[in-house]
Amino acid sequence: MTRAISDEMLMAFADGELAPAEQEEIEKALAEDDELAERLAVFMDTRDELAVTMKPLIDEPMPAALEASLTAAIATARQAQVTPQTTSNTAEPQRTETVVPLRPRASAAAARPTGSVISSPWGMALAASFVGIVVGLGGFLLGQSTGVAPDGANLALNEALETLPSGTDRDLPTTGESLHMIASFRDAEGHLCREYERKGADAMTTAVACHGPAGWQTRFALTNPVAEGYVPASTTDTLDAFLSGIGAGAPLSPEEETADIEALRTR
Amino acid sequence: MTEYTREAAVYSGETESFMVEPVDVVGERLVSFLPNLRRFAISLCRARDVADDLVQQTCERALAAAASFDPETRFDAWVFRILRNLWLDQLRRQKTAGPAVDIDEMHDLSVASGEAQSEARLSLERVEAALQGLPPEQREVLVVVCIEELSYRDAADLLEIPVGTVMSRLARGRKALSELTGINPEARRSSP
Repeated sequence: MTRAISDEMLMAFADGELAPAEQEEIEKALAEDDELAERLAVFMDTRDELAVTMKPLIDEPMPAALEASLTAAIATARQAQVTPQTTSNTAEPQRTETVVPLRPRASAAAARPTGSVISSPWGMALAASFVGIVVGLGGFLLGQSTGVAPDGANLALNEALETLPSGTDRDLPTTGESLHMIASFRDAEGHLCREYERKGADAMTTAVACHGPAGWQTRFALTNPVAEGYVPASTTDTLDAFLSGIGAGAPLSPEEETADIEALRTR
Repeated sequence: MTEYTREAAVYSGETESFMVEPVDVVGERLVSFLPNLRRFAISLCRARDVADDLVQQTCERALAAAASFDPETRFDAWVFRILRNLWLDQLRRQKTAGPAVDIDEMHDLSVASGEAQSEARLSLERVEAALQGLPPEQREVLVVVCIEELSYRDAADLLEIPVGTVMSRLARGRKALSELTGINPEARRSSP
């Protein structure tokens, strides 16, 4: 008998992924081992079965609505390309700043009239003219969520970002909000980012903070009035577009997340 | 899939001096790749309405990020990655925020209300159901290798995992699939 042949190796043989030498080794082993041939059959049959049944899905009739939506999306994207400045004027005050630091702010900065800008209608207008905004700003900013937050709140938030596992909640006593951590992922530059929600008595904020050289920074925040607990669809769309824009990777598994936030704390 | 040509440049004519806008390049390729994209989405999430939403969002994202597509690289891998990440986001949302609709239930309904079901239709439903029974990380590897015919190397790049991980997930996924579909002779014997 030859050395034990792993499932992976047999499968690679079935898939034609082996180097000639290994291929020969398997061929020899197969000739003298019926059990091996049966194991191989599992890998060959599953591939065939998948190919035979699923590949013809490509011929399923294309829903007209899907084709139409692609045509419309291309037209919109083209238009946005031609007129990158056609964003709503209400977004004007936001343009100069693309990142809102979570660190304690100077009081001059705190006086910026951001709080009133971030309301649902604005968010909708933004989502509608989204491509235009991306081109115009060269980045994303949907505004700071709660206007002037006391420093204590930022500290509590920073602390939560570095300790709270996704899927769990914590109260932020200084603002009376509750924080729900949604997920962690890495952006295109490899920075650790965390998506979370902050729910207050009358407003809910969906936010993404990323950890860069300057510490935690809010990269995305969108506040909507609380309406029976639902997040308006425009928020999800806008968030999705934002995540795509920063090249957000797949959500980290709980183990990866634990290891990554641990690494930040012990840095 | 690297048959990118500069045809569009020829047509864009005088004023634009042979500049091809990224949106046009990506848009044109999305149109011809739409059936592949839809098959990929259906393979991952089965429910046609969910798949169509995924495809639509993928197209929008691809167009918004058109400038970041390098025409020298594989277009299929680029859009598959966008779709796959959207799909994972969706799974994550369902997990953390709770699903809005029970998707499995939706599948069962669509299967039960069958017209005259041909042999091919039945085996498609059986394989689709079995795929849904696999953990997402095994399912996506099976889909890109066995249906979309990516090499292990290309699958590893697309899914951003090492080739070794592709192989171990693929092997485990195929053994599980073979039991779920009853391809495996052992499973066939033990089930009625």
